Amino acid sequence: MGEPILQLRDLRVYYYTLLGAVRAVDGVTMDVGRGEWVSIVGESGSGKSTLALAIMRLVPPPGRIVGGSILFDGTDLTRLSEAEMRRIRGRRIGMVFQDPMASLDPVRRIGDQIADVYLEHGVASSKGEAIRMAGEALEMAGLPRDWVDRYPHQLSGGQRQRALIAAAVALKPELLIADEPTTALDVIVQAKIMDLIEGLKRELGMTVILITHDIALAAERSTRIAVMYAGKLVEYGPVDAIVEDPLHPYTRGLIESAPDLWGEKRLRGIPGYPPDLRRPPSGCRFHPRCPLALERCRSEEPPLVRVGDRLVACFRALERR
Amino acid sequence: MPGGVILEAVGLRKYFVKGGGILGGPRRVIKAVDGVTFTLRRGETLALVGESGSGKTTTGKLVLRLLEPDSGRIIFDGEDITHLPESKLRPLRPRMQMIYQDPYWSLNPRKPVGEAVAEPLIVHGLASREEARREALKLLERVGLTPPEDFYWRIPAQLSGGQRQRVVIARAMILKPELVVADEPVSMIDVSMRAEILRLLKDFQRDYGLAMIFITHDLSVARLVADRIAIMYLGRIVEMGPADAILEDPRHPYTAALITAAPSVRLRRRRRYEIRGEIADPSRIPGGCRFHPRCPRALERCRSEEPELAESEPGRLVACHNPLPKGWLSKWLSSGGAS
Ligand SMILES: Nc1ncnc2c1ncn2[C@@H]1O[C@H](COP(=O)(O)OP(=O)(O)OP(=O)(O)O)[C@@H](O)[C@H]1O
Ligand SMILES: Nc1ncnc2c1ncn2[C@@H]1O[C@H](COP(=O)(O)OP(=O)(O)OP(=O)(O)O)[C@@H](O)[C@H]1O
Ligand code: SF4
Ligand SMILES: [Mg+2]
Ligand SMILES: [Mg+2]
Repeated sequence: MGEPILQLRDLRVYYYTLLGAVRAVDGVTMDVGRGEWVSIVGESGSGKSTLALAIMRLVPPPGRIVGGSILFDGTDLTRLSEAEMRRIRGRRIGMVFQDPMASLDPVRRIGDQIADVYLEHGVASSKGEAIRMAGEALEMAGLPRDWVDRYPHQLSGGQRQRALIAAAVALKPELLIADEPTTALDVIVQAKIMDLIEGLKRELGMTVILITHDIALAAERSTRIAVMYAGKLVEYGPVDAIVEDPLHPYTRGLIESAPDLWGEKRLRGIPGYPPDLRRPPSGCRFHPRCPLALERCRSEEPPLVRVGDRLVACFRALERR
Repeated sequence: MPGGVILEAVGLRKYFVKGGGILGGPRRVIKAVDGVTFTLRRGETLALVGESGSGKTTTGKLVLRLLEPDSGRIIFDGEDITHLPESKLRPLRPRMQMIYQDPYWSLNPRKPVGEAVAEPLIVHGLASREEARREALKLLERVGLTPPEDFYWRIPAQLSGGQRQRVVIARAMILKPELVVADEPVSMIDVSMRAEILRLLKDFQRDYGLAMIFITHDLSVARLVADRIAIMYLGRIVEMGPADAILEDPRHPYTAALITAAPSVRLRRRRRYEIRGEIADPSRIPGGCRFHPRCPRALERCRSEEPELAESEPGRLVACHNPLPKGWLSKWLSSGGAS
């Protein structure tokens, strides 16, 4: 890992709903090194998208960053004005959002939508120049240049995802955040989209943060994997260590639950359900589902501690130190 | 263990026509299911696997007569039900059930889930309201929604996704069906909670000896539940056989592409068998072998002649003019290359 491009410190993001505050991201601390591919994995509602949106400073109301800092290349993004943030979004940090239909305007041509990125940032001086650059971006994403004239509905799911990636990397950002970019896609198309991201990463020297619920997908492509559970980072470390010798019982459960064509032929899961983040369990948030929980886990929150080249938040994992 | 044949599907076809009416738009014929043949035995699970739009759901609806086939035959427990009128189908309906993918849409948001589970017994005149309620409580308990009295009066919004899927399963199983089509029953459910749902289905299967068509786009899930797998591509079965045999030794190039593209924790650095492009539009199915424009093994013949689904070895069927040789996959994976 090179020097960190991103440092999250005790980041907290809550949604203030009528029924109470949803503690979607609740004290996350982690570094991402320049040139790394970090995957953030976790199940539905664990706070992955909220974390990504916080980095972009795009958390929608009633959500709000309530504490902590986000250092991007040394600058605390939580302290920037909206105008300053606009110069970072797209230009230095690109993002592919989770819902592809929501992020493409159905009545505007693909080319116009990518051209916006160039015009907003004053990279192109005319509409014509912006459209020409959009064509180049499409080509970089593996689509024909002249598809700038197409509308989103004329593209397949995989092609739409390529167009969105083209828009996200149009300004050659240093960091690309891709939130579930292949969830709605079939495995063959998914693999090709992952190849595309990998290729662009190499070509542009980008850092990549991939958000996925699929730990196998993460394991195949990343340098490190961060595992989230109920708004908390529970384990973070190099891929091989995480998948071959998980320290956190949730990480272990997740890996064993993932059906694998080359794994054991056995149905495995984790008993119980993830918690309501308005009233998360006391102590370790995983304790009601944890096969290794001790009395202490019910009352005391395990801190995120360094174990070798990993971070882990589990009392039982620390016994192995 | 599989018993006698409960279902035969023979040459099923279902085309949808879009556009061309007063609303305009070019007229398109979508060949959703285009000649599907298989049999299913009691107690057996057949997984229908394929990419989005390959015709899995349409096939499932056809065999349950939830959709009218354009041609082909459906034989249920020895009786040809292809053209049975609804009045004659009604007594058969409780014996065949469908479980839908999305537990959000398959339940009435205002109806207490216990009532939803009891309802099929009442609708089919198989029990009084009182008996149906008692039976529903038993089923809720059975699917792990305990205490059942507490869950009975909840509405779907008060349950998690995994709990809702249990309700949907209880509702299908209360009729003790003989044939169930489970359409992606776990794809909306978090991976840590899938095993319990799948185990539940397997337990019901064992207890009722029911035959199951398990629809999924995920081969690794199919491997855990299916006795046999049928791989679908653009409305046709291109390969079918025992689950392990197909996954360990695929014959069809498309099956090989699906297998090697499946993300895996255990075999992270494997070489994929790459195919070109994406699945075609089912209103513009290529001539000859419908897979030929994407196929790395296509021969001249594949452009003009459609391969029949034919026996390649006992118990296995493949529709391909140039199938992969025996033992291809293990060689591909161990040598990291060379087709
Ligand atoms: N706009 C909102 N208002 C209120 N609560 C929200 C909002 N958006 C998200 N949440 C809640 O915040 C928590 C984290 O949600 P988030 O979308 O970040 O999870 P995720 O890990 O991305 O899940 P998924 O895998 O389903 O995309 C969840 O409990 C969710 O219900
Ligand atoms: N009622 C309908 N009218 C028109 N087209 C339809 C209809 N139902 C299905 N289709 C089309 O038929 C094809 C097969 O659809 P089907 O739903 O059977 O596929 P599937 O394999 O279940 O896909 P998925 O994995 O996305 O659920 C698709 O192109 C679909 O758009
Ligand atoms: S029939 Fe030809 S084109 Fe079709 S899968 Fe076989 S080799 Fe490929
Ligand atoms: Mg999300
Ligand atoms: Mg379907």
